[in-house]
Amino acid sequence: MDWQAVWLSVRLSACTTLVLVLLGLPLAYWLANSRWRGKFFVEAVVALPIVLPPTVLGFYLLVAMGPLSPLGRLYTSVFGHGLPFTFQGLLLASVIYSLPFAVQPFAAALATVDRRLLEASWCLRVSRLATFFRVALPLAWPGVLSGMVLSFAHTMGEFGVVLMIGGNIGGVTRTVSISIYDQVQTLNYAAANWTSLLLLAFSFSVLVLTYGLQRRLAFPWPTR
Amino acid sequence: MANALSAQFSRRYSVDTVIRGDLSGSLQGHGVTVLFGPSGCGKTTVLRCLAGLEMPQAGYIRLGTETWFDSGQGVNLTPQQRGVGLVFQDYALFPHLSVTGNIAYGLPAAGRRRRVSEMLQRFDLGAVAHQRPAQLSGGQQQRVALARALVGQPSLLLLDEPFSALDAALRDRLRGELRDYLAGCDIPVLLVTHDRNEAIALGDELIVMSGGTVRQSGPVLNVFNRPADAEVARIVQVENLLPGSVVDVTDELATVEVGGTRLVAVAPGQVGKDVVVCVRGEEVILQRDDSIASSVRNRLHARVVSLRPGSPLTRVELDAGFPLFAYVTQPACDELALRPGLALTVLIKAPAIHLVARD
Repeated sequence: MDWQAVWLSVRLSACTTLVLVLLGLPLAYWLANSRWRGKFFVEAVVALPIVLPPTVLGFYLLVAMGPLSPLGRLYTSVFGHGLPFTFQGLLLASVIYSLPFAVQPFAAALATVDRRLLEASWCLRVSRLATFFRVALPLAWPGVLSGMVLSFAHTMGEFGVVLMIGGNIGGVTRTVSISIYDQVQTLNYAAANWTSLLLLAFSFSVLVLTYGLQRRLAFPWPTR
Repeated sequence: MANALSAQFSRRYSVDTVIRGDLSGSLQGHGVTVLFGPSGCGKTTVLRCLAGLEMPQAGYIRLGTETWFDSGQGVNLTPQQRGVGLVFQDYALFPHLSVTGNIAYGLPAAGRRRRVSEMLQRFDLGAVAHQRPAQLSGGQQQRVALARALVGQPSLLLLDEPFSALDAALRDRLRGELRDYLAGCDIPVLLVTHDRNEAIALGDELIVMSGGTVRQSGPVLNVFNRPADAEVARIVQVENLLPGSVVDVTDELATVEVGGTRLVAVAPGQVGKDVVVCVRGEEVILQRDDSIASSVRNRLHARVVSLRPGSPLTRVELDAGFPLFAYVTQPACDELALRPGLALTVLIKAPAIHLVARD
């Protein structure tokens, strides 16, 4: 089995989930509370990766990161090398690809938090940021956990985007799913079988664990 | 008074929905001011504007020497900077925190323990200090909300329909309790309600709102007994609102014709010819024997139409040539042996009849 690819996928998924928590929570909080009229536009953009074929997303990301785009040139001039076919490039692509899988559960969970609880906190002289951490997040955490697990699992299984952006460089961009594809291409069915089984077992147990935990822990305090 | 609230502002929602809060002149120092009016008349908006949760378009809000909002100067303090004590309609207690956690929530670490235990004692919550809000009774939840609002020593306390989350039986019992707690506050208290009994039981001052504007303000009983116009009379639910016409005014005594009957009322000001005659049900006196002479100016012959027992007063519907409602106690009911069809004499003192212009 290609342990190198497994380890790479785990690292990529963990980093993606971390970035999505840092970026996705503020975005989701804004989506859940904003009364701005143009909000639907942002929601549509966030949801785009769900409906877009991974190759289309990967293609545009590749062009955007390439030496012909301002973003690609800026990155190259700062770091000395391009984004495509690197771990960083892969991370950026994964974050965008898994964005809806994090932001949608986050936003749904944060929207269930009664707005008056937030207002009560503000009137008690607690800042908006502290209110988020002390009221909104503790009450929304089952949804936040779901979002984290979904984005981790989704990144573990991604294929098209990775292939477009990262190619197939062992230890750098060859993730589990690409490794399986390789093994099948070389007719190494035994190895493909083992890697696939591992991925299946992992995905299934993560989901079982999450849903099981959610059932028990979701709302230990009845809200009414 | 150092911490008197003065505010005058308007909040526009759409072209034809404007909420105007005018609280100048009321809320001097301590005492409970009741903001009273039908549901949807803008009471809660006024409260939210005072707390800083909503921003008016124009006007000012000042507490003592502090300016909280002034559209002219571009001042608008955040809810955090104002720090009013706010008791929400269904209390908005933090469900994931214990009673202690809720009360201690906004306090700085210094002196937190002492102030929380003071509040637990003052509001008799010691026994449930470690329970979560969902485990508490409605009355306990109300006390936690009050303790949480007061523990930070706010300069203004706002209560939004504090009894709406409770059932009717509990409401009656807790009214007196809340009255005592509020009497212990030496800050201005503004309480929003649409319940007449609550307004009478809890308020010192009353502000009547309707259709987004303040219609009348003053001491509670003044407003209930002498509504400024027919609209206020309807809102404060004066039992008898009868269209009448003034036929004569001599020496501040007006003679009004109502449904073919003439009544004498004290009329200190000019009200015009077409009036609404306001008589509170409690002011209508029933008597069986017609022969006794008395000082009462208005004596009418009436017949009992129906009785609706209530606590503590029974509502008696009468036909005196026009429909008339009286509120009497149960013992009085028994003594007079009231029953539908019974003929009676109805007495109404002239000062108990209040005349307002018909709109």
